[in-house]
Amino acid sequence: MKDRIGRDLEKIRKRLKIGSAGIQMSITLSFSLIAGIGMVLLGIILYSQFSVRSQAVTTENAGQFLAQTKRSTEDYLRSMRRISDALYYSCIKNKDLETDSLDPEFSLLYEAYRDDLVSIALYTEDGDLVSAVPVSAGREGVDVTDQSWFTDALGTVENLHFSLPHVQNLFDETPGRYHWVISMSQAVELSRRGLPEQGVLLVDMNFSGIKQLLEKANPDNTSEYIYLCSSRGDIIYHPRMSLINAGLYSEDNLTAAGRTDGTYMDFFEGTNRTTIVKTVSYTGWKLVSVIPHKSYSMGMGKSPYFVVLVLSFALLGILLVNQIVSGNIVSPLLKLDDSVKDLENGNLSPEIYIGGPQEVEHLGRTLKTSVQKINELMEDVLTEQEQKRRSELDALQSQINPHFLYNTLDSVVWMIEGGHDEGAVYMIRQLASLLRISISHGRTIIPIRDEIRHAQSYMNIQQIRYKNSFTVTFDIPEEIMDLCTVKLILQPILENAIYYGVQSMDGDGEILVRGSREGDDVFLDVTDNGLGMPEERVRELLSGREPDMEENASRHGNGVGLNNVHSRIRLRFGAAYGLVIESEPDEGTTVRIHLPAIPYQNDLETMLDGRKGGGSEKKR
Amino acid sequence: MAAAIVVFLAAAILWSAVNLLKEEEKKPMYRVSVVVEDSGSERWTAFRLGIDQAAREYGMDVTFAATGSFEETEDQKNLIGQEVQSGTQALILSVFDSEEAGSLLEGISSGIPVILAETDAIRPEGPETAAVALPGREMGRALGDMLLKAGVDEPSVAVLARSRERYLEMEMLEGLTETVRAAGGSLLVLKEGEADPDVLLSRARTQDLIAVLDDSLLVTAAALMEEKGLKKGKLYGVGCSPSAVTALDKGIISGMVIPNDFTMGYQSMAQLAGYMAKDLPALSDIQVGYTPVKTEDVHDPDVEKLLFPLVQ
Amino acid sequence: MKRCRRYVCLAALTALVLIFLSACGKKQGTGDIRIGVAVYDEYDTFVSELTEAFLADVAEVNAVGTNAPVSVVRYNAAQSQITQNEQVEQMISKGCSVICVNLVDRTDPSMIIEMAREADVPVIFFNRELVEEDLMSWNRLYYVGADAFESGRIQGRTAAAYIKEHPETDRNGDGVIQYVVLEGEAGHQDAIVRSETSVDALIEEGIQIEKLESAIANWNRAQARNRMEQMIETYGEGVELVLANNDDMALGAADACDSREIPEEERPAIIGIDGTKVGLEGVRNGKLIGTVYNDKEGQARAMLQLALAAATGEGMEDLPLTDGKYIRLPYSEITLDNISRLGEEAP
Repeated sequence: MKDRIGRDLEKIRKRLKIGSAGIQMSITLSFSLIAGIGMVLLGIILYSQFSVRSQAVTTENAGQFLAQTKRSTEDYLRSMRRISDALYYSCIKNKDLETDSLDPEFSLLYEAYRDDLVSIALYTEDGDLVSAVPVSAGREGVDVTDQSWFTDALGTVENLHFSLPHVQNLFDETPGRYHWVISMSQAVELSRRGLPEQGVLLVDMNFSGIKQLLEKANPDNTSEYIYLCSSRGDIIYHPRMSLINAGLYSEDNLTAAGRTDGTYMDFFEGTNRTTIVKTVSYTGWKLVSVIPHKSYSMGMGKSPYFVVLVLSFALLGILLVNQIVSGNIVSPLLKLDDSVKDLENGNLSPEIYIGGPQEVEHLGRTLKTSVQKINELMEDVLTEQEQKRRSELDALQSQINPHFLYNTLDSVVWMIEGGHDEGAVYMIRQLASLLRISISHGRTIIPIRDEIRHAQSYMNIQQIRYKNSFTVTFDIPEEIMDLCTVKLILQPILENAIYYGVQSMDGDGEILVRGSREGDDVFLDVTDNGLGMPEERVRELLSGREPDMEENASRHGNGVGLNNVHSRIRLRFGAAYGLVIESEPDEGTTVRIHLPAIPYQNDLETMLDGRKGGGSEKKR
Repeated sequence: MAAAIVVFLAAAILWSAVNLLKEEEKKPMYRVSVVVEDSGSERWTAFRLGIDQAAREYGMDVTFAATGSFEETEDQKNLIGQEVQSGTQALILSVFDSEEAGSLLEGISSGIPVILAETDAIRPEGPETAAVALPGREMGRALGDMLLKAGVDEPSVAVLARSRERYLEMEMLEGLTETVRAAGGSLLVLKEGEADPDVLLSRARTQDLIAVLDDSLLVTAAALMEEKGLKKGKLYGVGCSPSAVTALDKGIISGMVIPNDFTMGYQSMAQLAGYMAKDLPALSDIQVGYTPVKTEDVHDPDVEKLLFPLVQ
Repeated sequence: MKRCRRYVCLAALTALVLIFLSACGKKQGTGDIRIGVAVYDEYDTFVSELTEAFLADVAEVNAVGTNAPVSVVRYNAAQSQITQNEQVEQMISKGCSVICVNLVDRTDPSMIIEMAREADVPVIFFNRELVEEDLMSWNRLYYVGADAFESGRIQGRTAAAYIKEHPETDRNGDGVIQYVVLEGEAGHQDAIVRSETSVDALIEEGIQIEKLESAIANWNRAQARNRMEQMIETYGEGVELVLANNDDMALGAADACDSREIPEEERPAIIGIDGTKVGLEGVRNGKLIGTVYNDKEGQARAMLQLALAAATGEGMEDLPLTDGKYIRLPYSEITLDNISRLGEEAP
């Protein structure tokens, strides 16, 4: 799963041709992306929550406002009803039309409520005007018994009736002047000459009263509005009344009128809206509040911009912080990376950056140590290689000792000239054997058997040359014959034994070569009973001092020396092995060769060579 | 990459901040001038109400140039010139003399949309002029129909009209003539300038019925008839002013064809608002309606709403 | 680098803010002078005639040709001060450079004065006078009208002169003139002043008077007719003199007599104030014994001059302002004798 994602990301990266992102970019991008997505999601959720809430709040507010308007309307209508009641109960009921005039009371009440009323009038049930203020001249040709306020009043006598707004058509007015009124009418009992009659009391309310009340409920700057209609749906007040009257606008008043109080969701004329309906008491009029849904977003107004602003700022901030923080983590790594690059480019002692967080510091330190170690190892290898080369070189040299060869051939010539052919043949055979083993196919490691044979050949030759001035004995157990040894280690020792040991002993010299095995160790001892050497000399021989070629050459032609043998053994088999010299002046010397017990195999050398990293195969 | 993102975010910040700050900016209020003859006359009452209603709704700034009566087209032209100079952005005109409408319009620089009220016979070219017109001929016919229902067979009709050429009146006259003649009646046309209103009226009274095609003339005629206590039932006409309506209500005028001036005013403004806010590509001609009303219908609830506009 | 970009953004933002603020500060200059006129009731004859004279003057100014055409927005408060306050608000928001207000309630101009002051729009009150304290509250408030005291005095003197010339006015011959007063509005300054000073003038002129009744008819002809009819009911012929605060009410009284078909000899002497067209007509045909001419033409002219001066800031010095605020035009008496003279002057 993770791989798939990794692969997909790779694909995307390749498609977009973005280079393989560095650590910093990766951290920055991924963190920013997560934070960004998180914020956007959060923003969306909060925003939608907010808008839902604000919608609910707007609707609630509208509902409360509507309730307030309802109360104001009811208060207004109530106070109007009081006027009518006062007129009836405190005035009309107590008067006899025959004798009393209603004018004083009518005038008084009219003056007191002049702002809200247009007129007060009292009619008999036949439609005759009894009394009216402020104007009493009735209009010609008008029969009030046709007018709806009149018929409604007499229709239901116990109630006070409110009409729809209409133009008053009762009195002789100033030409051109007209009043929009809502008629409040009730049937009243009149007395004339003590006899009861029925009549109608009409109080015409100035429509501007209701109009102003509802205008206050309809502020200009919102698209929500409140309108008032009768229980049958006729519009009493609507903020766009004049347009509705002119047919330029339509409203859903019929539906609203049929509803009971509550909140409704509507779709009218292409827009979604919320409608709240409340019923005004006594009259049954409906107050309707309309909230087009687009007014919700108007209320939201600048919020979207605000949200974008905040989000952008936040994202920018996150990016910035990211850069800084990741920088702190990443720059040490980068510096370390630079150090490594440095190393790669071949700088063997680069400046390794140590710093930054713990882990990076640790990495740096370790890198430094590693580099040091590498350098050291490389030096060791170099030294080893040097030594090996040198030894090889020396060994190579020793393979073919010109002096020895020369002398031997000389001896052979002498023998032949002297007619000692068998002796010459023998010498030459021994020499051949010696040379063959010296070369040994270029190998460095040979079986002990071969080495012994080489030593024997050498000694055979030397014995003849030295006219048997000494004896040599080989005591090598069969079991070690097939173990490994470095070639040409016995011969230099024997040479030393001859030259420094027994040469001058006139036939009493004895050299013994004895081999033994102890567990994993093999010992080859070369003992002579010769001159021996002092302590210092022993030390000197194995000191590792560069054998001076010329000096040794002058010492009877051996250019290699014990030190060389010692080094070669150690180089091949390790520091645990090598030569140990014991010597007593005038007593004798024993040179002990210590080797590991390794059975000889043909390909052993290659193996060993391979392990040691290049052997004598490489000839410089 | 990072650079691109940062630039993008910076742009977003700028854009949203700018928009946030922009809330101080108010919507521009377009200025409209209305140049009609005798701006104070009550003949324009309903028209004004329609214009004011639209001005409120669309947030426009309307000026009614204060005018008296024009003597000639030059007067109207000068006034228009003054209004244009003072920075008005649109015009609503009722052309003084329809014949010379062309010269009136040519003086107005381009870029100022013009609505011609009342009549569309001028047929101006271009997206920047349009007419919000009354259907003159139909109104004439409707008036004729009312006359024919007055109870007189083959009536002789005196027609009172203004003296100068107004296409609307001419169309109404045509429609009226058509209808009356078709029913076998006859017409006598009297022009305002010929004599005093008094004299004209006496001449008109010789006919069975009187039809007056202009509002102020109608009001004058009605006043005269009331004063002289003349018999009712003869006077008809085209009108919309409150005085005319009162006369109709009282029965002095027996029947009136009432143009929907409120709609005319409102639609003129609505069109201008739409055009100037770039919602409409061009102004288009609109036909406005009319309502024939008899005295007995005046207090019909629907008719009332038309005749007695709610003054704001 | 990021810092750099940030600063650039901030700089750009600041620049934009400055541009917007400066743009907002600039106000759109309109080329014309807009005068708002708010009347208390468009059906008040005097006020409507005054307004017409005003409009005619404005049309004249425009016709003469000016680079700043004058336009007028008119409102009718239909006797509601609340409505008038809203109308003033509208006028101010429509950019009127000066407004002329005919107060509905003379005791309540505070809202109007406040709104005008805030918007720095000068106000010319006319015809219905507010109290001096209110007028003094801001230096850009003015009043154009006439002196109510003067009108009452002239009415009283004119009536007195008539009575002296026409002793038959005292029908019951008791040496006392029984009179009724038709008053304008309850609490209206002009009404109060006119009623009082008229009566005082009569007394000063040596006429014995007895008040029968006073009734409020709200400057309205039809209402006055109603009240008069009631008074005729009550007092019959006893009413010898009717003092009406304005011509409309005087004519209403005359209407009442007409409708009651009271013969000439039994009618009371009716006198009004204003000199409206119909009032003058009434004097001409004998319904009113006289009236007091309220110079509406003069007032209209004065209003326009003052309005233009207040709007443009020039020409204030040339105007005859009393206390820097009042322009009051004088009344003149009108009777049948001198009405022909007036007939030439009146428009």
